[in-house]
Amino acid sequence: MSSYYCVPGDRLCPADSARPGPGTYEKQGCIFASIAGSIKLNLSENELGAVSHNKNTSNNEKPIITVVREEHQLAVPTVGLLAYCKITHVSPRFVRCNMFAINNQPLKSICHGMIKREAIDSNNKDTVECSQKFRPDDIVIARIISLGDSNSYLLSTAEPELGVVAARTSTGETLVPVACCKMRCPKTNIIESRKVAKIQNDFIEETER
Amino acid sequence: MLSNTNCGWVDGPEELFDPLQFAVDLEMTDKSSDNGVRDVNSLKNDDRVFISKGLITKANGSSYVELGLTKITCSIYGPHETTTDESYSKCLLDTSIKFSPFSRPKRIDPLRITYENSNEMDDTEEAELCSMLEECLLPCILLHKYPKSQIDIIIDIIQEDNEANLLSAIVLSTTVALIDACIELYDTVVAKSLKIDSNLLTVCYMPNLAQVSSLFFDGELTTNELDKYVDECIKQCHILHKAICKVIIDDLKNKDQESKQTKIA
Amino acid sequence: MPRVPVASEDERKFIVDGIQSDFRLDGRTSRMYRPVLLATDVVNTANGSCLLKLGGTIVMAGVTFEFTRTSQESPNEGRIEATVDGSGCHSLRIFGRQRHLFTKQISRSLNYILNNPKCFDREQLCVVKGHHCWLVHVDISVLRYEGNLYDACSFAMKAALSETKVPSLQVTHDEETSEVTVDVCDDPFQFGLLNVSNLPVFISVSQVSGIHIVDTTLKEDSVTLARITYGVKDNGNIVYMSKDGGGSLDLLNLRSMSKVASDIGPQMNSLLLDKIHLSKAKQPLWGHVNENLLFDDINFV
Repeated sequence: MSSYYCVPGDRLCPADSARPGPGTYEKQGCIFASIAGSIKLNLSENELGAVSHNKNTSNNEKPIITVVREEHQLAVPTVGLLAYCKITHVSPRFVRCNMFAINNQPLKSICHGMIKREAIDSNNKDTVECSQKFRPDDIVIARIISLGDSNSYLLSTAEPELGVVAARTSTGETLVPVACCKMRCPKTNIIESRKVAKIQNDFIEETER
Repeated sequence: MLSNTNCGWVDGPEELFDPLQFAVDLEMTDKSSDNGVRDVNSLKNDDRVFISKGLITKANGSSYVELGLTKITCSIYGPHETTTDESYSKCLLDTSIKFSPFSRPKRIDPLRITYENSNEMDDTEEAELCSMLEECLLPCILLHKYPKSQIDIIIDIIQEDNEANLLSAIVLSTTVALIDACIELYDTVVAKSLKIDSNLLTVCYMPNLAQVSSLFFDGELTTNELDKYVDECIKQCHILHKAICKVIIDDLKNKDQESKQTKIA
Repeated sequence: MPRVPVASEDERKFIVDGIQSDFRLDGRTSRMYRPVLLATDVVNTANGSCLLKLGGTIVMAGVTFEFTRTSQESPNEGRIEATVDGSGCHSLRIFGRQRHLFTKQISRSLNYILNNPKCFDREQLCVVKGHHCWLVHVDISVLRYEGNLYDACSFAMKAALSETKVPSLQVTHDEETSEVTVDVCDDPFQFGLLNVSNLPVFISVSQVSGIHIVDTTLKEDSVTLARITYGVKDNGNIVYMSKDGGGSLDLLNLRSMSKVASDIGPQMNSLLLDKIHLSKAKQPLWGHVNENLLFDDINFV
């Protein structure tokens, strides 16, 4: 298959024959390329699960046109995306963390995030104790809920699927999740409390997109 | 061989080379460099362009541009998290342009430090070029795609040929570097300066959208003459745009072929 | 340019609709300036000065002379430089580095037209060819900002320079020792004047949804897509052009904007000249001590 290449600003097609995907933008009734790369036309509808909720609109029949460049994929923290982060600091009112990947794309430079006490768990919000939910160096999956202030993004783990995905004990042993709020050390059988992410199959699909 | 290294005295290199050897070598690499293009269609020495990208590997995107005898490198860092409180909905641009001390026949003192808060020192040509470049780039970057982010653009002017070429070369190198960094752009912006008599006109132009993103003029002209000058600039911009497209598409093709070959291997 | 967030999307729409029907917020049409009020020679310590009001924007320009050596590159020319200072102006709405960049940009533009040989003849500032010349400082401070600082600064600069009293000097050339001595005249009523007939004014033309308007106020700035500042001489020729505002323009717009500027430029130039003459005539009416001098609109023309 030979591929077609484009530079930013190249007119790809009229707006009524396709929908703009990543790497493109729509202006004046046309779709233009916004990055340099090879042009891909996404015809199959099965892959369009991401927009399945508006399946009945006529928009869905149109193919998605995208511009792809393999070696460069920039991830930008945006509200609503899932972030992988590492906890750096736990205080009674909030937890600080460093985001290192967004939607399975590694970030070029780490971004600072903060999970407030109220955003850790969806039930019993007022009785949450941060130190009972996260420890420093835990790997956590969280959703970006706000761009926050100049210091950090605001994150939330108040969904069953969000929370700790990997953690170690103080001696360096990998913990194994046993319940939604408990993890066990396989060697000493000591139970440590964490906000554990309930990872399900459809959720894995979502993060992979 | 070096008996007196301890006292900090160095005799010089152990081997000797004929200086011409380097000169020949330089010419060879010039010809064989595969991801650059030298546009020899225009015979005038002022207009020759050489564009290559990916020079500074540490940066997110980078470029090296020769326009006439003006030589410029540009590197892009980011988009990364911003620390300023200004606006979160859009991306911020932070440009810094630096003349190397040997870029002009008269030495430019690198110790002429430009402090941000001092009133006297910072009105340099560098600051002026920075604001012109930002004005030119703002309309052509999809800033809303990078909320709470900042893009750092760092430009080094290695050699300056003439005043007219400078801004044009800066914009050219920044565009190529932005494309290399995969930052989303509305269009490939190019700039061309014309200097006729004492009139200096610079036009930054987006060829596909047919929009002028920035312009600057110093001299004296009537409106009709000015329109003619602008038309001429835009004509030249189209030529530069073709050169950029050729470099980038050739580069993409090369990279694709390389990755295919490695897959087969 | 400083952008003030306008209250709501509706207000923005109101402003744009008004501009489209050629009736702006303060009742002007698209090609009208706000009233220009000026008073020259308001500061005794400066060689020339001007207080200028362009609607709500108030700027003060002062001209001072400094005696200096000529530069090697241009031995028969004096030097002149303009600075714009907005540090004392809270209504500028932008702070810190951003404000500094904004005022710096204006002073840069002013310096471009001052150093353009077709706009200002710097040879008149030369005292002794190859030896001594004047260094003229034009310091402009922004007292209040309500849009269109570019034009206000250029009007104030032109008015101040046209009323500037150049100190008269006595140059004696000693034939034997070939030494040049320069003495300042003691008589305060002996002075020269600068020739500023070619000095252009800035005309900023803004584009708001396809309509070109001049002299935008703060609120209109917030809906402006792009703005071009033209330096226009009294014969309509364009001597300077730069863009700000962060939007882009197509060629048709560009053409009609330069037409607008070259139409309005000569009008504003002649208006300014008239005002300067009127102001000179009005000065004796001020009296010696008038505390309200700068606050009373009666004293302006």
